[in-house]
Amino acid sequence: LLASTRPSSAASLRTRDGCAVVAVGQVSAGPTEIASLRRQPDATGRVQFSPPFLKHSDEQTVVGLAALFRAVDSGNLSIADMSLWGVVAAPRHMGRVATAAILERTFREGALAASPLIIPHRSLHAVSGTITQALGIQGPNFGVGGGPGNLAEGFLVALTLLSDAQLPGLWLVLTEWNPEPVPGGEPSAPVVCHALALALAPASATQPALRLRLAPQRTSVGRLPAGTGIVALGHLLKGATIPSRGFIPVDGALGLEVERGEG
Amino acid sequence: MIRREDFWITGVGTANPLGLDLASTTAALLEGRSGIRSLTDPVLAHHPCRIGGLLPPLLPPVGWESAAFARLDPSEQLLLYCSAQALREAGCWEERSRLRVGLVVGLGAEWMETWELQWPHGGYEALHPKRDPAPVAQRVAQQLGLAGPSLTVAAACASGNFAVVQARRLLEAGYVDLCLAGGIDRCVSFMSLAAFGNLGVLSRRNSDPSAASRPFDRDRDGLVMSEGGAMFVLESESRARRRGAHPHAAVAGFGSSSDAFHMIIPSPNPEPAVQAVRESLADACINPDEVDYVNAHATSTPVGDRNETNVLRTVLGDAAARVPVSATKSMTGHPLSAAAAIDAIACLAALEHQAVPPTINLENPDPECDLCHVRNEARPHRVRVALSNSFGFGGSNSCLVLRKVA
Repeated sequence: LLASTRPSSAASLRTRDGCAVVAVGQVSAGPTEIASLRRQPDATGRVQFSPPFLKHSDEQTVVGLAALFRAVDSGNLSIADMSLWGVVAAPRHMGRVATAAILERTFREGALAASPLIIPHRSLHAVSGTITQALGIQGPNFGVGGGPGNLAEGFLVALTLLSDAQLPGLWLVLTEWNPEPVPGGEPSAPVVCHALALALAPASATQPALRLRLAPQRTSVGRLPAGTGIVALGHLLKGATIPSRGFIPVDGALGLEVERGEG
Repeated sequence: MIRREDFWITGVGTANPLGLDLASTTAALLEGRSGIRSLTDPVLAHHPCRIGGLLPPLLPPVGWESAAFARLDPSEQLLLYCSAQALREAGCWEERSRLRVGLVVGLGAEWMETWELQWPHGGYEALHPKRDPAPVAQRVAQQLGLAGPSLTVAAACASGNFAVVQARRLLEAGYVDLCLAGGIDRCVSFMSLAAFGNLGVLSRRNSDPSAASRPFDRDRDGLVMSEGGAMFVLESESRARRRGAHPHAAVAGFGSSSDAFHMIIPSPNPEPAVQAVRESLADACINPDEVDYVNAHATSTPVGDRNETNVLRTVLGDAAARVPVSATKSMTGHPLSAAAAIDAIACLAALEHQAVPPTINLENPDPECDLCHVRNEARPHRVRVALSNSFGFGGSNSCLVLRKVA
C-alpha cells in the first residue's frame, strides 16, 4: 500500500527521532464482551458514562475506547493532562453489518427508514471523534485509512503529525475485526474485534523506554516476529522481551523500527 | 514551529457542480452562479429533499480508454479525474513516475458509499468482505503510477483541509517529492439523502433549487448536498522555483482542534474553534489584521452559521468589520468530504483574481451573523492572505491559511 516511505536525506531530524511509546493498551472482544464494554468501557469506572453515550457507536469505537483506557491504566496516565493531545484512529471496514442492515431496511421501506445515526457513527472519523468526547480532548482528531493498510496509514500519519504539530502527546488507536462478521450470514468462526491504543509523545522530549520510528523494509535492523496484525503488534509492544533494537514489518514497504531505551 | 521553507500549490484539478476544471469553476464562483438543481431520479421521489449539486458524466483523462474509465466506480473516476488534471496543470504529468509522488485524499465514508453501490448487485452477499475492492486512494495511485504513499484521512466536512496539511507533513519530512492532496465525495445518493434528511439538516426548498443554499440568510432552512472533488499538487518552494512552476498559493498555515462536545451538534462554546483559527494564523506567522478574506464553512444551518460568526468575531476582533467573508457553499452546495478542498479553490480564485467570490442568496442577513458579507456579487479586493474555515461532524475544527506568492 505504501509503495515508498523512505525519507530523503533532507528528512527532518525530529521525524527521524521518531516518538516515544508512553503506554500501550489492547483489547480483543467478541459480541458479548462488546455489549458490556458499551455500558462501561473504563474498567476502573473513573470516567462515568451516561447510558446513551456509546449506545449507537460502532463496535470498533467501543473496543478502541476500551483499549485506550487500558493504556491509561498501564501507563498510570492522567486523563486531565491530555486535554491538548491529538487523536488519530485507524479503523478497518467499520460498520459493515450495521450498514447492511440499514441498506436492507431503507431500500425495502423507503427513505424515512434510514437511520440518521449511520453518518456520525460509521464514518471514518467516528472513533477519533468519540474518543475526544469521552476524554474531553480538544486537540486535533481525525480518522485514517478505513480499509486494508490501516495500520501503516495510521503509523505514518501519527508519526508525521507528532513531528509537525506542537502536541504534548497523541493517541493512535488501531482497530479491526478478525474474523469479521459477515452481513446476513452465520459466522463460520467466532468474530472478534481487536483494538490497540498507543499513547505517543515526541521522543525528543524524553528518554523513552520504547521508541518508534518509521522505517523502510530495507532496514538493516533485525526483524522481530510480530506478524502484521493488531494482536501481534500489541503483544510485542507490551512485552518485556523486546531486544534493544528491532524492526516490525507493518505493511508493504513500511515498518517500524523499535528501540528499547534506558527510561 | 518555524518552517524551513514554504510549500506551494502548483497544480489544481477539480470537478464540481460549478465546473470541470479550475478555470470554469473560478468563473462560476466570481459570477455568482448556483450549481444546485432538482434531483429528478425517480428513486428519490419520496425523499423530503430533492435538490442537490451533481456532476455531469466525467470524461476520461487523456490516455484512458472510455470503456475502461466507465467501468471504474464513481469515486475512482472522480479521484482519477481530479488527480490527473492536477498533475497536468502542475506540469508534472510526464515526470510523475520518476518522482516519489504521494496521494492524500479526504474521504469520510468510502466504505459506506462502496457498500451502497454494491447493495443492488446481490444484497448481503454483495457486502461480503471477500467482495471489497482495494481503497480508492490505492487504486488511483496505481493507475497513475505513483511511487509515494497513498493515504485516506477523514474529519467529516473538514477532511480536505486535513489532507492538505498531511501532504505538507509528508513533504516536510522528506517522504515525497510531490504530493497530491484534497478531497472527493460522491455523496448525493439514495442513502445519504435519506440519512441526512432524517437528521433534519437538509433544505426542503425543492421548488427553487438555486435559492436553497443560503448561508447567513435569515430564511435558510438547511444545507444542500452536492458531489465533487478537488485535488492539489503540493511541492516545496525550492523545487517549484527550480522548475519554474506557477504557484497558485503557498500553504501558509493550518490549525485544528476538537469540540469534545457532540458527534453532530456544534458546540455552543466557540473556544475550540477559535483556537484552531488562531493556531492557523500563528502557523502562518500573520496577525488577524493581515487577513484579507475568509471563506466561511457556513453550510446554511442556523446554529452552525451563528457559531462561526462568534468564532470569526472573536479571532478577528475589530478587523471583523472590514475583512470580507463569503460562503461559497451557497453556490457549490455542501460536498461533505470534498467541501474543504472546493472551498480552498474559492480562496485560490480570490488570490488569483483579486476579487472575493460572493455568498449568493444572501437577501436578508441573519442579524446574529453580523460579518462583512460579500453579498450576491463578487467584490474586487486586494487579497494576499485567505483563510478557509472547515468544521466537521465529530467536533473537528480546522482552518487553512493560503497566501499569495509574490
